[in-house]
Amino acid sequence: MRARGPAARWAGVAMVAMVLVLLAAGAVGLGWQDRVSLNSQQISARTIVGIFMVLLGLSLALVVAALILGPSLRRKDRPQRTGGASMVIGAVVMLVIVLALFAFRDQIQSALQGHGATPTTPPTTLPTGPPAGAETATPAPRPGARPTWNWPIAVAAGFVVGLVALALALVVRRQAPQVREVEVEPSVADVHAVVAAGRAALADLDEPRAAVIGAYAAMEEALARTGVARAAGDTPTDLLRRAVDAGLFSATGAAAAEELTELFRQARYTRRQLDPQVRIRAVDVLGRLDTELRVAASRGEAAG
Amino acid sequence: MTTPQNPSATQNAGATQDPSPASVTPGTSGTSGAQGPPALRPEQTRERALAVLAELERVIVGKRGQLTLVLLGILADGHVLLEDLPGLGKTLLARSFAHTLGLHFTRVQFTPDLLPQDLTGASIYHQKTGEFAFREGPVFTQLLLADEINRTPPKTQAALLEAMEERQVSADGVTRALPSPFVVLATENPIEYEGTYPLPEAQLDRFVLRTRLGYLTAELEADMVRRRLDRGAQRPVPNQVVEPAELLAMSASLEQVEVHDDVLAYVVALVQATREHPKAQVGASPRGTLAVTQLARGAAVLAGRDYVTPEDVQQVAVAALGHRLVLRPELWVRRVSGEDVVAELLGRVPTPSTRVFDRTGAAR
Repeated sequence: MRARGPAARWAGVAMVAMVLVLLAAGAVGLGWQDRVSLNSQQISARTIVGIFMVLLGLSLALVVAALILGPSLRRKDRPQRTGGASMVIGAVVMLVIVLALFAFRDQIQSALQGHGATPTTPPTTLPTGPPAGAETATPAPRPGARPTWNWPIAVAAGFVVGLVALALALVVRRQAPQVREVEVEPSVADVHAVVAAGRAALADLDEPRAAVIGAYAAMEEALARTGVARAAGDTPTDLLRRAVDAGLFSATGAAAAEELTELFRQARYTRRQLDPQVRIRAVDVLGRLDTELRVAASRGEAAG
Repeated sequence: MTTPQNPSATQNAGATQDPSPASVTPGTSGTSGAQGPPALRPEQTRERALAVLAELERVIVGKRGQLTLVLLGILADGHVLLEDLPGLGKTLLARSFAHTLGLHFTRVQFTPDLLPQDLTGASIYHQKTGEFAFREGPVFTQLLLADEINRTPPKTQAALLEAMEERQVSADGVTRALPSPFVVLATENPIEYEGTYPLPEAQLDRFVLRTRLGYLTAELEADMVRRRLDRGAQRPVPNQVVEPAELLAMSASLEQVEVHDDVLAYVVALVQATREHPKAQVGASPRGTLAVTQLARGAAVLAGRDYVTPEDVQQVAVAALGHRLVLRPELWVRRVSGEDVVAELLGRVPTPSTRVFDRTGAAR
C-alpha cells in the first residue's frame, strides 16, 4: 500500500474530528428541540421555512447554472483535485457557516419578521388601509425576548449554504480566464537562427557527441524563440512534430530536422563511442536546412 | 489440445510442436552454440519480430499496435492481459501468437466452478501400483490462454501466481518447473460486466502489460468480413515464423539494449509520480518499473535501435503501468482509469534534459 504522508494523515484526523463535532452539535440540538416548540412565540416556523426555502432556491439556481455552463467551461488540462484536503475544507466551511448562522440568529429572525420578507408569505395590499386589528395580527418581537433556534435546522441550513458556496466556487473556477499559449508566427529570420546556432555549435566543438547535442540544443532554443518551446514532458519526437505542425519546415526541411533529431538521440542516449561521421552528417543536415530556408525566404520575398 | 503428461518432461513440455528447442533457457541460448541457436543481435530480433507481426496481421485485421504490445510483452518474458468485451478477437489473437511462435498451446476456460487443481494438476491414486501419481494440469504448457480469467473466483486466480512469477508449480510438497518459454495470455471482461470477479492487485501486478483491442473502424470491419467471405468457412491459421528457441534468443537479445542513466531516471520518476498522484490510492510497484524498462528495450529493438529513448518509454508506459494503479473509490463512478492517470503523467513528468550535465552541474 502507498505510504501516507503526514499531511494526508492530519487531513484524515481533521476530517474525523469535524464529523464528530457536527454529530455532537446535532445531538445537542436534538436535545434542545424537545424543550422548544417550533410554533412557540420565540421562533416562527414561517421564518425557518423561509430561510430554508431561500437557501434551497439559491442552491438550485446555482446548480442548474453550473450544469448548463459546465460543458462549455470545463478545463480538461487542469488536474482535478480529489481526496481529503477538499473534504476537510468543505467540512470547515460548513461548520463555520452553521456557527455564523447560530451566532446571528437573533438578527436574522428579527430582520425577517420585521420586514415580512419570507417567500412563503406574499405581500398583500389592502386598498382601504389596514384594519384596526392589523397590528396585533403580526406578532411583534417582544423587547428583550431572545428568539430561539434549533441545531438540526441550523445544520440543515448550513448544509444548503455549503452547497451554494460549492456551486458558486465551481462556476467561478470554470469561468476563470484560461492561460492560452501564445502562438507566434515564425519568421524566416527566426528560423534561420536555427542553422546559424547549430553551425556555430558544430564549429566550436571537437567531440562528436557534444557537437551534435550542441547543434540540437541550438535548434531547440531557436524553435523556442519562434514560439515552439519544448514542454517538460516533450520528447524530441514531440518537439519535431509540433515544429512541423506550426509550419516551420517544408517537407525537405522536416526530413532534415528529423535526421538531426535522430542524430541527437544517438548522441544523447548512448554511451558508446560515436562515429566521427556523425558530426559530418550533422553538418550536412544543417546545410540542407539552410538551403531549404533560403528557398522559403526567396519564396516569401517574391510573394511580398 | 493435448497436455504434456510426463512430470519429468518439464524441459520438453512443448513436445507436440518442437520439444528440443524449448529446452533452451534464456541464460544459455545466447552463449551455448551447441545446445541452442547462436545469440541474436537486436537487428536480427527486429527482423524476426517484424516477420511475426506481418504474419499475424494476415489473420488479425487492423490491430498492429496491440499486436506489437503483446509481442513486446512476450519478448520481455512477461505475461499479457487482454481486456475487452466478448467478440473482439482476444482468443484468436492468443491462438495466432501460439501458432506463429511455434509454442505449445493450451486454452483454459475460466468458469466460476474451476478449482486450483484443475489448473495446476493433482495427485491421483493409481490402483495397480497402489501409489499416488501427479497428473500435470493445463498450466504445464508454453502458451497458456487463460480465457475470461475474471470469471473464476480469486482462489483459482491465485493458483496462477506461482506459475506466472516463479515459472513453477508446487503441489504435494514437490516443486515442478514449467516449460520454457512460459507465457500466460489472459483475457478478461471489463469489471462492470456481469458475473465477474475483479483480479486482485497481486495478480494484476504479475502481468507485464494490459491492453485493450477495441472496436475496428467501419472500413477495417468491412475488410475483416470480406476476408471471411473470401476464404469461406476455413479458420484462419497463421504460419509458424520462429521456433521457440529463437523466441528465447530474441528475448535474450534485449539484454544488449542500452538504457542510459537519464532514461532510467525518467522511468523511475514516472513510476514514482503514480505513487504520489492524488487520484491513486496505490501506485505502481517496483515490478512496474522493471516492466517499463524491459518493454522499452523491446520497443527500441523494434524501432531499429540498441538504446532506449524517452519515446520508447512513452510508447509502453500506459500499457505497463495503467493496470497496476488502484484509484480512489470515488473515481470509479467517473470512469477514470489507471491508463488515464499514466497518460496524464506522461505529459507532466519531465523527460531528460537536452544537455548532458556532469556532477558539477556543468553542461557537457
